[in-house]
Amino acid sequence: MSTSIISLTDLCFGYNGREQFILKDLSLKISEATVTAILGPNGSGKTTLLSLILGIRSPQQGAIRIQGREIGDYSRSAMSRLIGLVPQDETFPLGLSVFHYVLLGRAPYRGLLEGPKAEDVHAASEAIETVGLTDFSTRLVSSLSGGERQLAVVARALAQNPHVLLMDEPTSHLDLDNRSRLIALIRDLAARGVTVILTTHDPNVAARVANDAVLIRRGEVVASGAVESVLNADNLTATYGVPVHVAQVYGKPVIIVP
Amino acid sequence: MRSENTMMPDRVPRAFLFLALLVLGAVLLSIFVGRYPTPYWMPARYLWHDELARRLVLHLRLPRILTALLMGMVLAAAGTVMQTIFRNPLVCAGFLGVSQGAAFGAALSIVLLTPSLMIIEIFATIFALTGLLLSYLLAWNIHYGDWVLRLVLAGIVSSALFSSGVGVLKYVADPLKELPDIVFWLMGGLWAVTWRDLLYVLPIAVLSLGLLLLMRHRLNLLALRDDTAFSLGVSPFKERTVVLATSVVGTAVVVSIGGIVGWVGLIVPHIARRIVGADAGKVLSASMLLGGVVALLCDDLARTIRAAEIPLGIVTSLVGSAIFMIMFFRSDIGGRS
Repeated sequence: MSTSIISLTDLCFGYNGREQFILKDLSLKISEATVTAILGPNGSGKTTLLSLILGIRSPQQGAIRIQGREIGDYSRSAMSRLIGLVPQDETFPLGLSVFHYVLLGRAPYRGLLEGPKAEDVHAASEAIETVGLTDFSTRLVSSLSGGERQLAVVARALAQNPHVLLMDEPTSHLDLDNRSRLIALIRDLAARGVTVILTTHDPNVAARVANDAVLIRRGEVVASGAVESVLNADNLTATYGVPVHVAQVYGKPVIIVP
Repeated sequence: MRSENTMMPDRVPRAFLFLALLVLGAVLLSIFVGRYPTPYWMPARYLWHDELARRLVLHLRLPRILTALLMGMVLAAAGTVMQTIFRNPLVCAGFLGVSQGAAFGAALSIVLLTPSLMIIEIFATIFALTGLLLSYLLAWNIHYGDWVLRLVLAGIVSSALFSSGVGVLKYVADPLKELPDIVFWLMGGLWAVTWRDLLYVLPIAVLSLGLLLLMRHRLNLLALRDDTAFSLGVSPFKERTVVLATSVVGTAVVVSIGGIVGWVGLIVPHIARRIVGADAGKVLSASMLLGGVVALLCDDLARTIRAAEIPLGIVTSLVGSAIFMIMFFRSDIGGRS
C-alpha cells in the first residue's frame, strides 16, 4: 500500500545490558500515514519498543531505520522534529496554563537559549484548536479533567509537527466519550499524513483506531499485519494466554473474553 | 492567530516595569534608612553637610545594600529553579540541604584552616553541592509518599545532618576566635560587609544569575518527564545538572558572606508567579527583582529596628513564614490541583 517509514530489524534489547533480553529479534515495518497498534500483556515490552524508536534507549543488537536512514545518523534536533511522544503519565510543570504547556512542544524549532517566536505561538494555538481545547487554553493544566489533560498532551506533541507520533497507552485513563474523541483525532492525524504508533491493552481500541496491529508476547512478535487479519481468536489467545472470542459488529472485530 | 492566549500580554511588561521601579525605590530608601544620625531616618541634606554621613553611606551602607540585593536575587532565582525543576512548590535552597551544607563547609574551613574569604567560598560551594546531591539521592530512595513529600523529607534529613555537623564544629571550635564566626553563619547577617567582600562574591553571583537568565526558556522543559523532554530535543540530565549546579554555586557564594538567610527562596517565586503567570522564564526574572527587594528591605529592618542588629536570617524567617502562612491559607501554594 504505502511505503514504510520505519523499519526495525532483528532488535534485541535488555535493561542494564543484561543477557536476558526484553525484546528478542524483533523485526517490523511500519507504513507511512497509518496507525499501528502494538498489543501485548503487561511487561511484554511495548513501552520499551517505543523508547527505542524514540531513541532514548539504544538496542544491543539490530537496526532501527527511519525514512531509510539509521536512527543514529540523525542529529538530536532532527529527531525531535521527526518524532513526537505522548507518554502514559505526563508530568506537568508547576502551575502552567494549557497554552504555555503546549508551547513547550515548539522547543525543537528554537535555539537552546531562544524564547518562543510568533510562529511558535501560532503553531501552539493551532494544535490546541485541533484537539478542541481552544476554550481551555488559558486554564491551568492542573485544573483540567483526565481526558482534557490527555488532549493537552496530544496538542503539545502536535505543536511539534512530528512525522511520527508515539503514543503510550493513550486511551487507558479515558472514559467512553473522551476515548471516542481521541480515536477520531488519531484517525484524523493519520489522514493528514502523520504516522501513529500506539500501545494499548485493549484490542477493541486497536480494532477501532488502527490500520495495522502488532501482537507482542515476552518481547517477540506473535503476529503483525492488517488489523482485521491479526486480531483473530487464535492470535489473541496465543498472545494473552486466555481464551478469546472475536465477534463481528458493524463489520469490525469485537474482542470478548468469555 | 490567538495570541491573546498568552495571558494578558501587556500586563507582563507593566509588571516588570513596576518591579524595576520597586528595586530602584528600595535602594534609594535604604540609603537613608538606618541608625545615624538619629534612629530610622537620615534626612537627605546630611549627604551634603555631614562628612561622616557621606562616608557612612559610601563605605558601609552602599556595599551592604548591594550585597543584600545580590543575595536576595540569587536566593530567589535558586528557589525558582529548584521549585520548577523538582516540580515542587515547597523547596528552596534552605529546604534542600544547600544552605546548611554551605554553612557546614564555611564552619569546617573556619575550624580547620585560617581561612580567607576565598577558601570559605570554596568550602561552602563544595558542601552546598553535596547537600543538594544528598537530598536528591535520599528522595529517590525513600519509599514513602509522593515526589513532593519525599523531596521535602529528604531535604529535612540532609539539612539536619549538616546542622548537626555544624553543632559538632561549634563544640570543638575555639570559643574566643572561631565560635563567633560560626554563629554568624547560623543566623545570617550582613553587618560586616565591605566593598572588598562584595567584590569577592560579585563575579560568581552575577555569572550565576546571568547563566540562569540565559537558560530561562529551558526551565519548564526541564520539569517534564525525561522521555518527553528527550523527545523535544532536550538533554534532561545534562541541562538539569548545569542549571541546578549554577544555582547552588550562586547560593553557596552568597551564603559564604551573608550566612543562612532562609525563606526568601521559598516565598518570592510564589509571589512572582502571582504577578507574571506561570511561564518559568518570566517567573525567574521577576523573582530576581523581587528577591532583591525583599532581602534588602528585610536587611533594612534588621539594621534599623534596634541599636544592636537583629540577624538578617531571623528577620527573613519571621517575614517569610508569616507570608507563607497567609499564602497557604489563601491556597496560593499547592491548593489548586
